[in-house]
Amino acid sequence: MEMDYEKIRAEARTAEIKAIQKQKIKYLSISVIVILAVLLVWQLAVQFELVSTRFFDSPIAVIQRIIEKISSKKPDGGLLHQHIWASAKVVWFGFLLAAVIGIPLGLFMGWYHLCDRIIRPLFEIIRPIPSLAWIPIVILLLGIGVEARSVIIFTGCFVATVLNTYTGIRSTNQTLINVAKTCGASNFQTFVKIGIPSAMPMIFAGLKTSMGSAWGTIVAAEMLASSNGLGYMIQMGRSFGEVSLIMAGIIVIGILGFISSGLVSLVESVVLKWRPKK
Amino acid sequence: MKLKTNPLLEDHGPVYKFFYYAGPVMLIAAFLLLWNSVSAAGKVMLPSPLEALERMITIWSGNVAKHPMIYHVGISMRRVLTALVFSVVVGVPFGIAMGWNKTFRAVFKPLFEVIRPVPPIAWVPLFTLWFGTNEFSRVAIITMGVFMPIVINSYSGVIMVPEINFQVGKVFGAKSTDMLFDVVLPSSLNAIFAGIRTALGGGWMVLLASEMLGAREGIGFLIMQGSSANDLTLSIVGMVMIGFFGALFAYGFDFLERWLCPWKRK
Repeated sequence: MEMDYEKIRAEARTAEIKAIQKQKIKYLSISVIVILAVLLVWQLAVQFELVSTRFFDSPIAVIQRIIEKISSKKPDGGLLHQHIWASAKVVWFGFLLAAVIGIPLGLFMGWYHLCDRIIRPLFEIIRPIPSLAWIPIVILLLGIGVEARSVIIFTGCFVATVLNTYTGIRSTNQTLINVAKTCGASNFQTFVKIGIPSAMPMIFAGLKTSMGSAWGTIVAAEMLASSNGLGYMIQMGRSFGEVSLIMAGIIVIGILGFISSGLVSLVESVVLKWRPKK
Repeated sequence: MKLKTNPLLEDHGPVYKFFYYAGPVMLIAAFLLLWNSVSAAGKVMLPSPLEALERMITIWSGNVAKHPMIYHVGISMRRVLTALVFSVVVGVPFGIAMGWNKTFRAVFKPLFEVIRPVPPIAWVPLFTLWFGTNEFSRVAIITMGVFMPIVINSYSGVIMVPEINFQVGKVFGAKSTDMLFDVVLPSSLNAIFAGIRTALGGGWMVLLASEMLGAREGIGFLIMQGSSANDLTLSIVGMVMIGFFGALFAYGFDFLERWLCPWKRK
């Protein structure tokens, strides 16, 4: 009799798994159909001139434009990869600078009360100022070169990095701290061995947030004060009334933002290998 | 009267105590001194802190760029609030529907995933092309930035409701609507509020971008105006304004959250 129960249970389980898989396929196909339908409607709407090509260009034309931009400097005076490199360089430089300064600062502020006490008032003054608001001062002090744009990116990334790191180390489990102290660890040892690893997941959450905002900031900074980069390319598309160039720029920025946050996640999965999976 | 001793200071010596009280003031003073000395060196046209402070007070009387200051502040507030209210009213139900109904999710989630990595500021040129540089296009761009985090957070709030809550609901005989309003909504409220908070921060940023790139009024316009008219004091006043109101909104929002989610009060 025992055997039969086992068999029935196993059969029920495989049936359940099959039903779930069937459902998954159903919803996946709905998703694929929706995306294809949107692209098709977009393409046909442009092709049959339901919307003016002054305002909209078809997906095929946009992709053609991206391919064309790889070898054509028109009309903004730069090739696609030059713009990408100009933007990506600034984003990563500002981002890394914010990580190198912001993570230690957040850790110290979270762990050492005196540090928090001294720095917090100044930090609270700077914190609510959006990075774009720094543009006039940065232009005045540094001009409109790569350094200036990196500093603008830095101001945005810095706040998110410090805040998340701070919250991360603050939420260190008190039991772990007590264990370390019982085993005779000094405050600094506890900080390094318990505090910092505990803060890691939140640090990476902060880095991902700041990477996302960095791409938004760079686009605005390049539209306002630059003569290269993807933001500049989009702005030129606007000035010359070339909608396919604007759309091409938006798509390329989306892809780059996606890749950048993917890279941060990749580093996270390598650094946080020791974490037990859920 | 006996002076209360601060428990954080008990085990520390006089040097620690000195920095505990004087440190914050010293750092801010150092910051102001540095600012003042850069300004006094005269290599760049940076106004001194005192000049900026004076301007901050006098700017409220008389017009700035054809309008009184309060008008610029008010119109920026209106833009952000319109976008925020619209996004909350439409985005929260939308996100909940995406978490609750699998077909709805299958239809809309991929579209969101495609649009999500594009920073909202990148839409500015396209929107000005479509709608012109008017009030509607500005609010639409801000909505682009605010809507997304609100939907995504509401959605993940619903997704992350613990299975056991549903089981308890089932045991107590909850119908589908009961489940939605009494189980799902309260447990996802935290995530929804986190989304609105993120959205608010991002909203200021997009507001600035849209006002800097073609507007004749608003705080972002003033910041840019200061830069192009070589009047950096005006830019600094604008920075302080946006920081001040940003912080004010964040505090107001914390207050609202504590009022709506009594269980979060400590």
